[in-house]
Amino acid sequence: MTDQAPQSADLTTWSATELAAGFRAGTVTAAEITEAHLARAERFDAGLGAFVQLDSAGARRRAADLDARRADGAPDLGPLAAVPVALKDNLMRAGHPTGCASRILADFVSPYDATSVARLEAAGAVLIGRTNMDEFGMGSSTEHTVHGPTHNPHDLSRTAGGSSGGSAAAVAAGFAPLAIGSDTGGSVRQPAAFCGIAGLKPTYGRVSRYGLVAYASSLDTVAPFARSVADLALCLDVLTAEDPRDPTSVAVSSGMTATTLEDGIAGLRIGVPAEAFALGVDPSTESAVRAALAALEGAGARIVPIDLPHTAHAVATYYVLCTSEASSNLARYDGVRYGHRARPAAGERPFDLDTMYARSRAEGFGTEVKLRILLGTYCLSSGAIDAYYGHATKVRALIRQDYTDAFASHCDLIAMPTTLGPAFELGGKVHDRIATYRSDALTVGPSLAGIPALSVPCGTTDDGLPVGLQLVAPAFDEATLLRAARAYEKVAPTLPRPSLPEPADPPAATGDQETDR
Amino acid sequence: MDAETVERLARLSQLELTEAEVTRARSELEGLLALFDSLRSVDVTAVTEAVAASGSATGPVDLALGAPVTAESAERSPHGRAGAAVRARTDAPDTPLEPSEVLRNAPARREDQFEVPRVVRR
Repeated sequence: MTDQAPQSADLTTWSATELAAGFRAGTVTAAEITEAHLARAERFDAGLGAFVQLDSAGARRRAADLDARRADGAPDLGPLAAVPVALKDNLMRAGHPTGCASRILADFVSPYDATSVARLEAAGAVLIGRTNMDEFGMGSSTEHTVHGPTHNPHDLSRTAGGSSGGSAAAVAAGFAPLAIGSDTGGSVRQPAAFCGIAGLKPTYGRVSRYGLVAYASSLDTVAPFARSVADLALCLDVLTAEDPRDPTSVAVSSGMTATTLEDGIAGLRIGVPAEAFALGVDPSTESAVRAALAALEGAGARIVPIDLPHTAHAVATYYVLCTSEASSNLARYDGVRYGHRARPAAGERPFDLDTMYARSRAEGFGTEVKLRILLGTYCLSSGAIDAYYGHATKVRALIRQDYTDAFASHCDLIAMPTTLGPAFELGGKVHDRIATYRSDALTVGPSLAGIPALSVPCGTTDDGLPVGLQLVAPAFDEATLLRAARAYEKVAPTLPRPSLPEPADPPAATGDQETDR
Repeated sequence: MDAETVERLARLSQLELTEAEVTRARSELEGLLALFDSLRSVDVTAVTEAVAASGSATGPVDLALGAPVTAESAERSPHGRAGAAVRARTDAPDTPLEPSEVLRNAPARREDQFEVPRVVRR
């Protein structure tokens, strides 16, 4: 899409790179950019459910401020100056609600900024709203949410994916050129694939997790969505930083990825694991991905077969670990310092402390979250911890070793499908938990290994639904990952922009809207 | 997975469950534990556990705290690569949140404190 001339009158078709350049050159104002995106979101989001809250007033104030500073001659307002960015509802922004699509955080207002949010603002971004998600990141369809599901812009009867489905839908629909999600086991890569956009899970430690509401701390990453690879690189370079507030964050010496984006992939060895295709990949998805591999070869890469022998065990390993970590992390929601507190009904005796805890959590958490807490509690309970949690940490080491070995001896990158199939029907999998968990089979491996992975659009299924190609790189080698994705993007089939249905009654109001779907 | 086990897990998790939720959880947990049990076929003899997502695909993981191991941190660590741990935060005072900011989200408060049900008997 970035290859096309940006001079369409419709600013919502411009990439972040083009918008920032236009603002810098003075050809567009921040107000024009912001108004175009807000107008599109206000017009079409009722049918999608991408946003939980559109911060129209705040975005307008911010745009006016950027325009004023530019008029005053401010030399450089940052690499993302005037670029609208949507934030998943699990990233803290000072003075704004952060709800994680959960009743338990319904009234929560963030007292401070997440590091990634502060970095976006310092880079000049216009934050336009909070996006829908599966509660606390637990889900693959953005159906486990108090706000109602997010619909896929390419087919409204289908899921946008999850858990960062709102952010993915917002970018695909042209409500923002960039959105931030979080990827614990595929929560950015899978919705990117389903919505026909690009999504990158950085190396664990590259982007600070400070201010990201914790789900599974050894796996959580802050992760961007965009419609082009160049925009992903632009955004990643803004987010990358060692942060004293997140002791797992790392100083990355090769910080910039945008500078080497156009260097091509001549001679790059791309490993293709047979195991990934043996997990039941839908034939039409497989043929789109095989065509992408051929295109990468055409662009100069060498395709080499590799083995990732423990691939089939990744889902079980992932779910033992993420539920265990979730059961610990979510213990903080006790109805005391913040979040929902249950009150005795009229005539009921006052609660003792334990009843207050247990009732608050029962009322505040949704079904999926409760189940994962119970499961994690089981995996950590005495008598079971060695057999489940302890054992899974060792299988995790073997899974990581598979990737280490492949990169050490055979290839520079790994390629496989992002998902087993295209976006599924809303309501289709929500009642079959094991099938839903199994559908994460191809994204959880890189998460367990802590290494970077991205999804780029690679055409469609026979039914016209977007398919994602997943590329995986060694730790901290996002530069090679994005360079290969960019080389592929140049030769990839183009996806039509989703045509969104006109609303029956276009909303007249343009102020803040708090939806309660 | 009997109802008693689910009820014990609910107590440990501080979650009140309805009877219907207990019934549902029994079958769901049973199915998921069967999935987890498939991991038993993996031989992990002599495997060191990986507690965290190491930032290094080539280096070992810190077992105590699970920091990514970098070449520099490994050099600094008295335990070598395996012990290169999370750097300790600088032991310096930071600016804390104002009490009013902290209490802003409190579901119940009295003056500058969180209010909770009485935990000691009169």
